[in-house]
Amino acid sequence: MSTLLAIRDLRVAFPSAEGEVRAVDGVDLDVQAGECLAVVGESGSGKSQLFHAVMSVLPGNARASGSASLAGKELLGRSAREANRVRGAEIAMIFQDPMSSLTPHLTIGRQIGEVLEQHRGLGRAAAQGRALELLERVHIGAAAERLRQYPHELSGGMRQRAMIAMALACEPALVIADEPTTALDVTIQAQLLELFRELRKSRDRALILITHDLGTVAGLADRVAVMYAGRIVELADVESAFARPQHPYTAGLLQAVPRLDAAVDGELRGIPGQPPLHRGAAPGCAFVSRCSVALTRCATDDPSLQQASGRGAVACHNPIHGDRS
Amino acid sequence: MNRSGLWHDAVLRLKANRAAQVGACVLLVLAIAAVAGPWLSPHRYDEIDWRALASAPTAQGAHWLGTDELGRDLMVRTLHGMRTSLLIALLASAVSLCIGVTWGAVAGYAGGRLDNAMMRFVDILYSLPYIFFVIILTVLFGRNLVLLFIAIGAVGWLTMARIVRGQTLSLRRREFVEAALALGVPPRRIITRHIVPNVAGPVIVYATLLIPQMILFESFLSFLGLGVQEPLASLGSLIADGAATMEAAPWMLVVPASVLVALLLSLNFLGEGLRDALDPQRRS
Repeated sequence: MSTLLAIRDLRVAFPSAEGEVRAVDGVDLDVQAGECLAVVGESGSGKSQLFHAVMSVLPGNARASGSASLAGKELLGRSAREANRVRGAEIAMIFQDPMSSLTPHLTIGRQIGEVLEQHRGLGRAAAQGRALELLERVHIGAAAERLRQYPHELSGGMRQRAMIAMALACEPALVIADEPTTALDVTIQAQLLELFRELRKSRDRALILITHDLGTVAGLADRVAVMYAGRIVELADVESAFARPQHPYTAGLLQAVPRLDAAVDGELRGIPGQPPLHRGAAPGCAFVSRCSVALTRCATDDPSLQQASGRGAVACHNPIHGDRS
Repeated sequence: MNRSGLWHDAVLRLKANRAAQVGACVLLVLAIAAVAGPWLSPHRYDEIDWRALASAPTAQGAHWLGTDELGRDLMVRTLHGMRTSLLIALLASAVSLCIGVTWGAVAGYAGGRLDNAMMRFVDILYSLPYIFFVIILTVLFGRNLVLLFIAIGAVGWLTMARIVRGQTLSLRRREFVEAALALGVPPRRIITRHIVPNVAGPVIVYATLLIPQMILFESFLSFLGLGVQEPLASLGSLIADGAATMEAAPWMLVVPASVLVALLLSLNFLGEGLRDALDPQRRS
C-alpha cells in the first residue's frame, strides 16, 4: 500500500486572552491508500481541528503550520482556488451534524449536483442523474423523490446518507468522516455503520473516522490513532489497541466503555480529571495529572511517539505491557 | 406530490396567508389603477376646470373625488401621483437592494480587513447629511426624477448592507457553509447559492419597509421643492398640498392620504407573508 496522506508536524493554534491555545501540537501521521484509520479521543483532544486543517476549513483566527500532503501534493497554505480543486474531488469530508450541514433552501439533488457541476463540469441534468445513482448507492428509499426534497423533509439518518452521497460524488481517494454518527440515535448509527462497512468493501478509498465512540472503531477500522491534548499518544492496529492498549489513556478510554458482558453492578470507570487546556504550560506529559501509573520523569519529560516492538507506536515512558485484564 | 421547487412551495404558502393575499390584491388593484387610471379618465392631471374650483367629492358631477384649488380633477391627480410615487420608490429600492445585498454579503463573507474597510466606508456615508447630499445630486442631475432616485437608491443601501452583513456573518460559520467549503464550492458560489438565499427573509421584509420609506422620502423632497414639480403630482406633494387646505377642503388631504395608507399597509402585509412563505422551515 502506498502512502496517500502524509501529515508532518502539523500544528493548529488559536490566539486567546491567556496566550496561545495549541489545539493540535505536532502531529505526524501517515494514511495508506484504501485503509480505514480511526482517530479517537475525548472532546478537545484536537482530533477534529487536525482534519479541519487538512481540509483548510479552520476558523479564521486559527493558525496552522507544518505539512500535510495528499499523494505528494501539499495541502496546507494553498490559495483558496487550489484548495477548492482538491476539496470534494480528491478529499471529501462528512460532518457531524447532518441537521445543520445541508443548506436548508436547496434540494438534496441540487446540493449533490453542485459538487458534480463544480468538479466534473457536468450539466444540470447529467448531475441530477448521477445524484440519483449516488442516493441509491447509499440506500435512500424513493431516491427520485428525495432528490427533489429539501433537507428538512428528510430524517436525520437520511440526511447523513445524503451527506455521504455528496462526499462520494466525485469518488475521492480519501473521505474524512468527522463523528458521522454522533448526532444520530443508536439504531440509525447501526444502519450507517453498516453503510460505511459496505463502502469499505471495495477498498479503493481511504476512510478516516474521527470519533469518540470506540464501538464504532472496533468493527470498521484497520488502525487506531488515539489523540490526547493535541497529540497522537498511541497508534496501533485495531486488534492490538483494543486487546493490549499500551498508553494508560487508551486503557482508560477502553475501561470507560460500557460493556454488556460486564457484571451488572460493576461500576463504569471514567478517567479522573480534565484534559489540560494549555499543553506546554507544564514541562511533562500532558496526561501526567490523570495517569495512575505515572513515573517521576513523566512530570518533567514529555514523551514522544516511539515505535513499540511490533505493536504500533506509543508516547509514554511507562507503557502498559501484557494483556488487558 | 408534484413539487417544482422553493418558489412553488412559497406560492402555495403565500396563498394560504389571508392577510398577504388581501395585501397583494389591494396592491395589484392600486398598481393597475395607477398605470391605467390616468389613461382611462376623461380628465388630464394638469387640466383645469374653471367651473369647479375646489369642489367637494360628488357622485353626480364630473369630478367624483372633487377637485383641488386650481380645479384639477383629484382622482386623476391621485392616480397619477401614485404612479410617480410607486415608480420612484421601486427604482430607488431596487437600486439599494442590489448594492446593499452585494456589499453586505461580500463584506460579511470576506471578513477581516476587507470587511472592516467596506463597513467603515458605509459608516462614512451614514454620517453624511442626507439632505445635503440630495441637494448636490439635484444640482448634478438636474430635474430628472428617475436619475435622482437612482442616485438616492445608491445612497439608501447602507442599512441593507448592514443587515445583510450581519446575517452573513452568522451564516458564514454555520455548518452547511463549512460543508459546502469542504466540498470545494468556490466562495462566489457559496455567497450566491448558500448565503444570499438564506438572507432573503430579512431582505424582503426590509425591502417592503424600504419602499414606503422611499415614498415618504420622495414626498419630503417634493415638499422642499426638490422632488416632483408642478403640475406633475406625487402622493407626497398631493398630501402636502392637502394638508395646507385641510380645514376648508379636507378631501384634498383625505384622498391621497388614504391611498398612501392603503399602499403602505398592503405592502407590509405582503412583505410579512413573503417572509413566512420563503422560509422552508416555517410550515403552517
